[in-house]
Amino acid sequence: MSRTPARLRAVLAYALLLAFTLVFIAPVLFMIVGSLKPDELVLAEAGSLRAFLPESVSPDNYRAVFERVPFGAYLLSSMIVNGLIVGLGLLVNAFAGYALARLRWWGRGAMLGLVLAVLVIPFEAIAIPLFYQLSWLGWRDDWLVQAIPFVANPLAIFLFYSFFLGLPRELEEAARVDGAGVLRTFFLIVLPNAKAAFASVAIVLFLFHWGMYLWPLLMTTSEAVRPLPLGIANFHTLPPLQWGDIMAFGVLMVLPVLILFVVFQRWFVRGVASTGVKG
Amino acid sequence: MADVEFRAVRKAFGGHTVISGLDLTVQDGELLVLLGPSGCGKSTLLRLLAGLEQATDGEIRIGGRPVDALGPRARNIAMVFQNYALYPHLTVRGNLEFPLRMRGMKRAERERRTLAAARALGLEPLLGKRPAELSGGQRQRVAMGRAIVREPDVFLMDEPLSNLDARLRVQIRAEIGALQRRLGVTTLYVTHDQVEAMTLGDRVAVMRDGVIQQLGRPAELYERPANLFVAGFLGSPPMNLLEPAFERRDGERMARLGGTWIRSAAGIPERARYAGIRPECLGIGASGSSDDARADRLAIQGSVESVEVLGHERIVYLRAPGSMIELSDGPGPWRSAEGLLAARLPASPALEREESVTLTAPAAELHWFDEDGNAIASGAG
Repeated sequence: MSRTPARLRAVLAYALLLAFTLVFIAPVLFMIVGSLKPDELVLAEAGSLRAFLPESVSPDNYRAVFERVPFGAYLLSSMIVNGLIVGLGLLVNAFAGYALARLRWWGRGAMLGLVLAVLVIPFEAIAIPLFYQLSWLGWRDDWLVQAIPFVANPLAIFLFYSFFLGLPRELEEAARVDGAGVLRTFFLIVLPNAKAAFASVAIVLFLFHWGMYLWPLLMTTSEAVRPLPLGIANFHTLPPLQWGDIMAFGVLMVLPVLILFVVFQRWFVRGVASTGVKG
Repeated sequence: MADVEFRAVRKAFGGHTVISGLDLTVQDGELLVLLGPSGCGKSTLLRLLAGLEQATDGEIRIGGRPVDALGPRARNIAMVFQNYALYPHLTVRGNLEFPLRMRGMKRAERERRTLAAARALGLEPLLGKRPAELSGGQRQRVAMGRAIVREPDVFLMDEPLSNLDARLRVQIRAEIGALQRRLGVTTLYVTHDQVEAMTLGDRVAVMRDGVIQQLGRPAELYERPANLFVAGFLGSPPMNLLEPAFERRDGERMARLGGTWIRSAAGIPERARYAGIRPECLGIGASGSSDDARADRLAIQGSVESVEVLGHERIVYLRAPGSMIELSDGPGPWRSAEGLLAARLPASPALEREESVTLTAPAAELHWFDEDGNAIASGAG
């Protein structure tokens, strides 16, 4: 008797989950399928289920992306800017997190409070003052200026901080007794045991900044240093308006993020779990 | 090799003093055990010596050289941590080599020393494994290996056996003792386990609230505890501590213990306030008169509360009239308690619960303590 309601509940639950999944995945599917269709069919089929069914698969839209805009240059800019943010960001934020978690210094508590406070300030709030500050310095229109303001990241500092708090302190003390100084302890003992934290921070930084639009729009003028989000915006305004091409651009822009996520998924999950639980 | 000196060392964390003006000298080559309950400051003392903490006051010397201004690296000490603190990402070989690499030792010499340490501890087959693949005992050995490979002046061991099961603990305890004697390195060993302290230590320092209560050879501490704390801390079960009633009869001071008025042959010290008797000094005897003023033996009658059978012997706990005291966690060092009298008895005859038994012991076996809990030497007034 009691089995039927239980089964019904399960069916309803799954139906609900499926509906949510479809809602979230539909735009992505629409983009992927649309990128493979002739342009005229993209909008024509948008109102029907056919929007999600690739009938005639063709790479034409992808070819068009590379022919109509300097996609390679956009991609290179995005890779360099994000590479700088992630590469420098890992080092700077890990140092900061370690100093907050482990070293004893005057004002440490206040600094931690400040980091947490900065966490809630949206970038848009400081974008204009930062723009004036850097313009005053005459620093504009290159890759570095797109990256440097984002290297120190309060969320990344906090993730590292909470991860380092969870590392057994004895490991570092053993290293110090064994003759390692602070830097060698950090690089030889702490860092190899914090791979999960490094991976999750890398992904967080990358995801945060891959789609960055406002800052490069303010700071860059030449196409050679502009990243993908500005590229797709530019592409959108380029006549003739070709939706299939725009979908292909979108797929190409999302692809690196997907690859990164698939490759580092194990670390990402572990990193989020460990930083979350131990913090 | 080096001797170690603590001179008036004080350590406070914020306003809380953990160690207050401690003086201690560890002789060259000696294994000194710091024994005490949790929070008594023994691990802090070790960390001060390692350079992981800075003393608030006082001076620490290793081999006659003040080391207070030196970091851990410059002190040439090796430490075995309670949880071993093996580097999880390095193999056993990597762990053993780490302190040598930190000292910039040449590869050939590193290799030689690593292999020698591995051979000494039976770690050769494990050199390629990581700590996660090792058993508790093997991890402990690697931690020991990492300490000896450096050939340090001083070994520091912070409860190194507490994570092992009972059987392994006995085995590794013996190995540590043998290794220390063979290498002859000055060693400070921290434990709260009195069996470890008694079996390993050349000398034992019993600590409480950052103060050394007594320092001496294990047998000395056991036979002549300096105060109630040491008496109640050492021994398993520890000394029975009692608070007798006193009376003067015919000019002689008598004490009433468990219903029997007793006098020791040398008389009961004038300042005596508390008495103690080791469980192994008690035996089963005939019940005497409860007011037998001539007794040179104490006789305590009571009912058996529980019996722990250990094979060759039994620990019998007796519920007996009369006041017992026990070590206190509160403000005073001890407090009155409805405790049980413990006796270590041979395996036979069998005793049942609730059975009425009289335990006796020569009065000369009693330890006497004054109002402040300090031991009074036998025959002293």
